[in-house]
Amino acid sequence: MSIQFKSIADLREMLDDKSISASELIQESLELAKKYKELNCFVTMNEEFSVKKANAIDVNKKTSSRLSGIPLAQKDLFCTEGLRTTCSSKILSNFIPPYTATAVKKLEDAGSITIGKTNMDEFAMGSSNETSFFGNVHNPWKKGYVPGGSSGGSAAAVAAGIVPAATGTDTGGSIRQPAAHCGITGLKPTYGRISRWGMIAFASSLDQAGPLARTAEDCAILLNTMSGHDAKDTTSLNSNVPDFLENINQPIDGLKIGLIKEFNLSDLDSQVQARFEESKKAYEKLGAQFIEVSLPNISASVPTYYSIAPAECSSNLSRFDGVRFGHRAESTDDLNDLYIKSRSEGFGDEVKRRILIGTYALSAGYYDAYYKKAQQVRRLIKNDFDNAFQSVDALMTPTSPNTAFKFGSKGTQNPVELYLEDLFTISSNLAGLPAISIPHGQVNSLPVGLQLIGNFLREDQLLNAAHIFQKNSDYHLAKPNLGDF
Amino acid sequence: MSWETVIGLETHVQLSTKTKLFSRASTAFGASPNTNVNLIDCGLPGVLPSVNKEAFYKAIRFGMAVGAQINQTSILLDLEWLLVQRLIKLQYLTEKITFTLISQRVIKLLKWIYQLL
Repeated sequence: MSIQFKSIADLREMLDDKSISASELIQESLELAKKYKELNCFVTMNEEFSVKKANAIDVNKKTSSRLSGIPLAQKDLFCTEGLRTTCSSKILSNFIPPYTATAVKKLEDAGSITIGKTNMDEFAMGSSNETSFFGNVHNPWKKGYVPGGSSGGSAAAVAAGIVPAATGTDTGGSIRQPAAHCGITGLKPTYGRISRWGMIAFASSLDQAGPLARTAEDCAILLNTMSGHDAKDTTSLNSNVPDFLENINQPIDGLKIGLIKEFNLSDLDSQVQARFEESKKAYEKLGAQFIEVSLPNISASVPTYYSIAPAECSSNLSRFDGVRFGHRAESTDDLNDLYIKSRSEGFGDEVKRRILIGTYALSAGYYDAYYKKAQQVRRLIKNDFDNAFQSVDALMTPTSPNTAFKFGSKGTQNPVELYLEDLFTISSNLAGLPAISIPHGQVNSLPVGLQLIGNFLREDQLLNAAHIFQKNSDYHLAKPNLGDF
Repeated sequence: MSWETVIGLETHVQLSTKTKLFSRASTAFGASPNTNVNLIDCGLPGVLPSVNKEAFYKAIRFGMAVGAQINQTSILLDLEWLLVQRLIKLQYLTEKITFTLISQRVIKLLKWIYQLL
C-alpha cells in the first residue's frame, strides 16, 4: 500500500497495526522525494540519519507518541544540528548549524523523522518561491506554476504526498498563501505560541512558525507538539497550551464569523468570489452566523508591513558579513571590502531590495517618518481587530486574491504587484493573531484557499471550525495529478 | 540672549554579574581563550538574546538608590521592544534611566557647582 497522500492520522494507524514499519515508511517517503525531484521541493536530504532513526524506532518498538516514526520535512530556515541550513540563500549555502531549533527539536523528540529541508524564498522574502538561490519550486498541480511562498517547498512536498506534513514560517502569509496555492491546510499560530529559537530571523516581531498538512486534524497534532514556552525565546508565550486535538470535534452551531467590510470581494476574480460564497453557505449550513464587521484601518496593512518588515530584516541580516559563517568573497582588499563583496555576492535581488528599504526607513531623520509611524498604524490595526472580536469569534476571507500563477509572470517589472498577493494574510501578522488556510475547491484546476482569522490564542477555535468544514466536505482530499513530474 | 546649560552624562558601568548581558556565557576573568563564549555571543543565525535578569535588577536598584522613578510598565514594554531591536535599544533604556537620574538630582548638583564657578 502506497503511503503517498496519507495523513499523519492514517500513517499512525498503519504503523500501529504493523501493516508498515517505520523503516519502510521512511524508505518510501525518501523514494517519493527522489521520484518527484523535478518539483524541487528539497534543498538538502537527510537520508542516512532518517534511515538510522527509523531503524532505531523499529527496534525499540516504542510508539507512545503520535508522531513516532512519521516522516516530516522542515523549512530550510530552521537550524538543524549537523544538517545544512541555507535559508535558500547563497550566503548560507555552506552553513551547518551546531544546534537545532526548538520547534524542530520538539517534533524530533516526539519521534518524528526529518527527511529533508525544504526550498523556500530566500530568507523567506517572497510570495512565489522564485527568489530561492536553489531555483523555483513547481506547483504539484501544474508544472511551471508557482507553489506560493515563502514556504513553497514545504507546501509542495505535502501537496505531492511525499510527506504527510511539514513545518513552515509565516511573516506575512508565508504558510497560508502556499498552503492555499497547493491545496493543503496551513496554520499560522498566535505570535509567541511557538518558540523562535533557531528560526533564522526575517522580521522578528512578525515571524511565527507553524504546520502545513493535509488536514486540520494533522495541524492540531503538530501544533500540540510545537507549542509552548521556551526560556531561550523571551517572546514565546507563557500561557497554557490546550490539547488542540481533543477539542477539534465540537459542533460549531452559533459560531459567529465576521466578514470584513473593507475587503471588497467584488473586485476579485469572479470564480474565486464564487468559491468564497459557496463556502460561506457551507458554514451557514453547519450553523455558523455571518456578521459584517468594519476594520477601518486594515487597508493600511500592506504599506505598514512593507515599512516594518524590511526595517527588521535590515537589522537581522546585518550579521551575514562573511566573517564567522556562510559565504565569504575571495580576493578582498580589506575588512570593509570583505563585507561588501561577501554580501553583494551572497544576497539575491529581493533580499538586497528589502535591506535597502529597511536601512533607509531606520536611518536618522526617517525613523520617525517611516518606522515609528508604521508601528503606530500597526497599533491601530490591532485595535480594529480587538473591536471586531468583541462581536465575532473569527473572521473569514479568501487566503489569496487569486490562484497560483506562472513562473515570472508577476512582480518582475514591479515588485509591488507581488506584494499585493499578501493583501488578506498580512494583517494577522501585524496584529499577532492566529489564522488558518483550508482548501475549498478549485478554479481552472488550481486550488483556492479559505482563510479564517481567530482571536489571540484561539487556535483551538480555528482548528475546530476547519475540521468540521473538512468533515463535511472533500476539498481537502483532492489530489494533484503528478503525471508531468 | 540668555543660555541655559543642560549637561547629560552617559555612564558605562561593568556590572558584577556571573553571566553576560545577553547570554549565559560566563564573565569570569582569566579563563582560557574562546571558552566564555556561546551560540548567542557568536551571533549565529537563528539565535535570540535573553536579557540577564540580574543586570535589570541592578539597574533598577541603582535607580532606586539615587531616587529615580522606576516605571514598571514601560520597562516591560521596552524589554519587548528591545528584543526586536536588540543592542541599540538597550542603550535607549540605559539612556532613559540615566536621563531620569540627571533630571532629578545630578542637574541640581551641576547647576549648584556652575553657580559657584
